[in-house]
Amino acid sequence: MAVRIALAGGKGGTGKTTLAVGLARAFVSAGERVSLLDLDVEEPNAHLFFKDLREVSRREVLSSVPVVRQEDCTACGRCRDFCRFNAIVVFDKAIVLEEFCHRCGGCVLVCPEGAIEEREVVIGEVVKAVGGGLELVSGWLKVGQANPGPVIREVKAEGVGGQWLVLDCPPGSGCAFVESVEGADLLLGVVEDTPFGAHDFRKAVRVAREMGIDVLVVVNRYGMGNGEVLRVCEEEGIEVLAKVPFREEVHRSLARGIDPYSASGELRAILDSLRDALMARVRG
Amino acid sequence: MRPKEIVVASGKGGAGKTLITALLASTPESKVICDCDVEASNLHLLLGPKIESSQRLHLGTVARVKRDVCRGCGRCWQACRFSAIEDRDGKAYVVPELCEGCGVCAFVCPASAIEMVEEDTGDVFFGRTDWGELFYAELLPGRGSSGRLVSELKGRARKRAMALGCRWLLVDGPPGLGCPVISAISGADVVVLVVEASLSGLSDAERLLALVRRFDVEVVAVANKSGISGELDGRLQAWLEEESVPLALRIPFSPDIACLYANAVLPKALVDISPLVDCIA
Amino acid sequence: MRIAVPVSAPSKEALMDEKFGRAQWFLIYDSQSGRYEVVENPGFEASSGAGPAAVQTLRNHSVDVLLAENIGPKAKDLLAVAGIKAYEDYSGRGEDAIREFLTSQGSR
Repeated sequence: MAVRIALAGGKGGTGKTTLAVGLARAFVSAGERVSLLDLDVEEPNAHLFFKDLREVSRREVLSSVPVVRQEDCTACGRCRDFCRFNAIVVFDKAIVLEEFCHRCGGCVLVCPEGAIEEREVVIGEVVKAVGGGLELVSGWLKVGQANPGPVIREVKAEGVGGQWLVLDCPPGSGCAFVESVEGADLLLGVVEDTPFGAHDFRKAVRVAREMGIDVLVVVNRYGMGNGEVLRVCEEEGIEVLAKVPFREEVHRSLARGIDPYSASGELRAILDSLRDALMARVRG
Repeated sequence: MRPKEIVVASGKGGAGKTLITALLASTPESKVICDCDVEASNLHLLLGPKIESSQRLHLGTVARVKRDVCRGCGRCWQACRFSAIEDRDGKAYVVPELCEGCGVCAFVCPASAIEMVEEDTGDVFFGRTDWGELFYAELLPGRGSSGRLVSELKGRARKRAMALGCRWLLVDGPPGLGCPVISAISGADVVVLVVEASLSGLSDAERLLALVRRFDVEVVAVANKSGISGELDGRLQAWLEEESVPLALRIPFSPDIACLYANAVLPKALVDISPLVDCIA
Repeated sequence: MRIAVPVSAPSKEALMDEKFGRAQWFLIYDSQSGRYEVVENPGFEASSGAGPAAVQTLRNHSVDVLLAENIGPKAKDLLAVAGIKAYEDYSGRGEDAIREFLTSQGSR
């Protein structure tokens, strides 16, 4: 059985992608088979840290939207009244407004004339590539689409090649986060050492615990802030697996897309020991 | 006069939205401030408001099964597009995190065993800061209605700004491109696009700008953490020129700024925000 | 012809509401009867689809022309579909906007 490790943290920009790519590379260097899943489908970035990616497959993610058969519509307005999202207006005939539609299918069910049918539209893309000794699956939500959920699900369905599945999750603690960490064996919180990081992480922890997922932590930019994140971890009984100090030169390298596993000897050693700690935990 | 609605956004998380919002907040302009990052609200940690009121909101609905009435026929879980209903011990069970509140299950249930009830969405806070009134919200963990909470929160802040006759409604936007961001940008007069001068920051800003272009809104850019590489800075500048987006302000990458900020201290002395203010006004 | 203006209070003296989809009321002038009426926009606080709901309200009240300060691109498209002519850059009092429009049209 593959082990699914979700890297998440609540706040954005805490280093989730850096740690996800770095950890995935650390597993590769130990001879493990790894799939890296970029589940931040609104703003995917993991691919930027690979120089040798070769695309293996590219697939559209579809979703169905209702279409009104004009000749059968009697403008009775039941579809509009049913729709809780104001996605249907009725002028001479019913008109569906795609950008407000949640794809619930309710209008199709309530139409007494059977005048509404569904048509597939593209809402995103899933790209699978290999490089750096691993498989990278990235999801891309089409710009203008509001709901990343279906794209996240497709990335998870596609990225199953490795023994280790490293999940680079979106920020926040709402539906995209829930969709991403669902089914994970453990959540590795990437939390920056600032009051902001600590505040946002608390919420992510609550969701993960409600979902029955174990939580561990990597503190990033350690030494920069007030150490509040360590107090949060202690209060919550969360083990801190690694502390990554803030280094200006490393930051400069990462900004330019240098792979985190090669960015510095210090960071590599931390990633290796993080990998070893995870392997020891999972394999006993 | 309506206040000018200014939304600070970046696509990428951690690019400096909250920093820029807080710096704009600390100018003398009359304003109401609104943190629309309801999944990870941070602005209040910087501005230290005196909280005057809070309110639990119930936006939208969620399905609830009357277990004693449910016959377990399965029509609801077949009809639900969000996999939000499961068969548990032969009866329907709603997974609230996944329920969109569309009402399809209630419609198809032959036993009328499903009712649509109000959902707890999150808490809205109202407080005063030294620089203006602040609205922010905390989405309850795992809730799916962050976009709706953003709309509601911004609506309240907008009304307040109008009632006070403020010049600005200043909005700190959420990261990403999805529902909450669309709700935050919708209705804006100006989007301040904060671009982190990194490969990731550029990539994310490009996607965000494509989204912003779908709205009828003016865009000005701030380059944050710049000066890391001449090539990145050059690319950023060329891209903004190509898109005809004015670059109002460039903030260099500086460990000093980062360290102050990491301790929730606003680096006012290190960043002069006035070129951005001039560009907005 | 029926002309609508989004207003911030239910009277013809009220100032226009800048954001048409979020206006709580519409002031409607009927050029045939010469009468004003105010209708409520039930979608003004909608968490989703306020724009479409506002256009639906106008359509339900057989409005031909909308005068507003600012109309979003999506709402503009939908107004066109609804057969409602939309004019922007109107501001001030609702009644004045309607007069100004009628004058510019050379109508009564």
